Amino acid sequence: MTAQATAAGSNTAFVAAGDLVGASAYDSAFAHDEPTIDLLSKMGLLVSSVGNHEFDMGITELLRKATSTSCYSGSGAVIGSNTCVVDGAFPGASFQYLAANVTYNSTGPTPGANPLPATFIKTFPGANGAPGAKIGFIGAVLSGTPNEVSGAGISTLSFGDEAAAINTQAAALKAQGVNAVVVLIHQGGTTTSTIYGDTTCPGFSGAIAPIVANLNNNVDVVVSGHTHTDYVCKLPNAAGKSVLVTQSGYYGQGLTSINLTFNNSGSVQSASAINTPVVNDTSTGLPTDVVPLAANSTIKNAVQEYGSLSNVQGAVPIGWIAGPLTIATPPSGCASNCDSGVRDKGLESAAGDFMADAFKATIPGAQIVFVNAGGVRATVSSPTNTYPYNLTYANIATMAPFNNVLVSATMTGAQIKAALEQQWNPTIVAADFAPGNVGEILDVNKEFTYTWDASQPYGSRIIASSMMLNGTPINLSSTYTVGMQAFIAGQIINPTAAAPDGFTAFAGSTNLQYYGIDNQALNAYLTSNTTQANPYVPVQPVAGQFRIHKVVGSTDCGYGSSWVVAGTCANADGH
Amino acid sequence: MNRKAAILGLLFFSFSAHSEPIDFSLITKVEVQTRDVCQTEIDEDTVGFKKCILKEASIAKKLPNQKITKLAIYYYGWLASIVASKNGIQTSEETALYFLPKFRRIQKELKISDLDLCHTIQGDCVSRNARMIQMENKGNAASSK
Repeated sequence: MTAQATAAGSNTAFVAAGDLVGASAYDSAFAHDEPTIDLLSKMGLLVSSVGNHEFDMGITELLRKATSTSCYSGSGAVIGSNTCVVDGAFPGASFQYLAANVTYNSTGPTPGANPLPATFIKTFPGANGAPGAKIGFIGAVLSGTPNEVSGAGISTLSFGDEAAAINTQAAALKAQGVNAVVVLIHQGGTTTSTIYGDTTCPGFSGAIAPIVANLNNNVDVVVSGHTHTDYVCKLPNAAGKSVLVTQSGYYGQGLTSINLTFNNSGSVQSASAINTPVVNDTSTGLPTDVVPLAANSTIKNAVQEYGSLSNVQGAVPIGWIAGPLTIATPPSGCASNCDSGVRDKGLESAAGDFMADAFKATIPGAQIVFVNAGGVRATVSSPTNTYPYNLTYANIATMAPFNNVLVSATMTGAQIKAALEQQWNPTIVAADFAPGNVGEILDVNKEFTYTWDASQPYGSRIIASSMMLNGTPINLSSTYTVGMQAFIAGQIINPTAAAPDGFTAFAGSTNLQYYGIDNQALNAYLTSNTTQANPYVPVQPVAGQFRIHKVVGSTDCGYGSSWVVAGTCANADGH
Repeated sequence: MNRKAAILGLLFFSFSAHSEPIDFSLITKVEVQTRDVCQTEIDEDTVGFKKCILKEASIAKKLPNQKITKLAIYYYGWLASIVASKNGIQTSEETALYFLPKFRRIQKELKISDLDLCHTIQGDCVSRNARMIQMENKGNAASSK
């Protein structure tokens, strides 16, 4: 479908609205998303806005991918293995990333300047060799991006009001004589339509609506994203002009075909769009109105090559474990109610404890390490159930896929206790009705233990005298070096950011320090500290308790009748 | 009349007689409020969205119009989930199935027709109600196995 956009003389452009990289599949993530950049370039992508995920690894890494052919040179980089994996080179992006509302702040190299261009102009061929329509593109990303990504890599940036930045750039583009202004923005909304490709736009809502409402008349089309859905809408701007607003879906599952026509004076006469599902020709049982697409051989071959390379990298052994590193699973009888039935974030887990141990070894001076259970994504175990098992890169990538930066901060004993109390934060636990919400445990390193009393009210559950570091009681007024992933440290990095998973207690911590990437730390820990004869020995928490203890017999029936398992309160399962 | 239409007609008939006036504007208002609070929780999956809906429903327990409020919250929970399922959002089908019996029970109790309930929030009621019946039949078939 995109081939027509790249054909010589085409009057079509292939554009995107961000989140092209970040939180990606291992086939791309193993090489710092260079495969995705290369494949989109090969597909003929012309221009895209950045999305929040483009900032996952920070502005420096985004600029490398967006504007250079440099190999990744950060921690753990190995040319040929996890960067510049094809012939030792990274081809770079042949498309242009745009970010009109992203500027350097006072701590950046050039305060007030955009690290990436705000606009891009494409002049299409007209009839008989004459210049055709001149289209101006503006890129923008949600102003709330700092709430969505780790603050470490974007501390030098400001994310400004979307509409204000777009209006300024749209006026500038018009002054340059463009015939139409198309906004590419990583922000969106949703409809209530249950049919893919619906162009009636019923019940539209979402953050893109007030942005469009504040646009000036220079803007003709808004290509949006972020909300993982599809729509073709006409939304009013402040002057009452109807602006075409589209989204195609997500993960490349759909393509929006936008058609602009111009009158004799060069102004937009009409703007329309339809969404088409992208379905490959190996699919079966398709509805009659869905046309399957044959793979482009160039793209198919490149995808297969990256897949093969990632398999090689993913299979590299990195260290040994003596048993499975398990995530906590919901108790029997709760399969449909407990955090999607797969993972129970309310219980200590062997995988979380392992991560805490590895992070402690990585973060200089760390005494206590917290790992939020939400960041422990999958159990890692031997496929043949034989141990010691030689773990691979791919194993670690499935367990810790977020590429979180590790940080440390100084906290008092009282602040540590307050953070632990928030494991049962009622704003997260969702009052007394949500059966799946049992709090979010912070897994801890082996040197730190404590006991909590489930019968006590929220805020008074941690028994202060039980908090021990290497067997010595924690002094509430003394300070400790605490390590964690940047996600949970969100309010230490940016005090105005939303509290990650409701943990506000980290906000008052001081002396913030940054270290490496979490999954690289896990790899390094295993490589340096384990052998087949001396593997890491995980301890499976019994009823969700190992380093974290619950007062024996203390019960907590505060989660509502739905959380009662087999006629007992939640106590039986370890919560 | 095809079989699907016949089923729909039967449901309209059985739910048609209201025993007391229903404040449909309140249902709409609560649906919009629920949307404003919970919609952004749908991202890679609907796990957070489901929790958000349940949290809103727990708050509804303390309100005077709790039955109708919970109906609106659960109905929106189901609707947003089937909308997400058309885009292949993980867990969306499961979440829709979770909320379906919750709002259907209250809907039946209040004797509100499928069409009247559908009209409380914009969209194509033919496809939406057909999806509801299809899902309900699928759920019944699964539970009778």
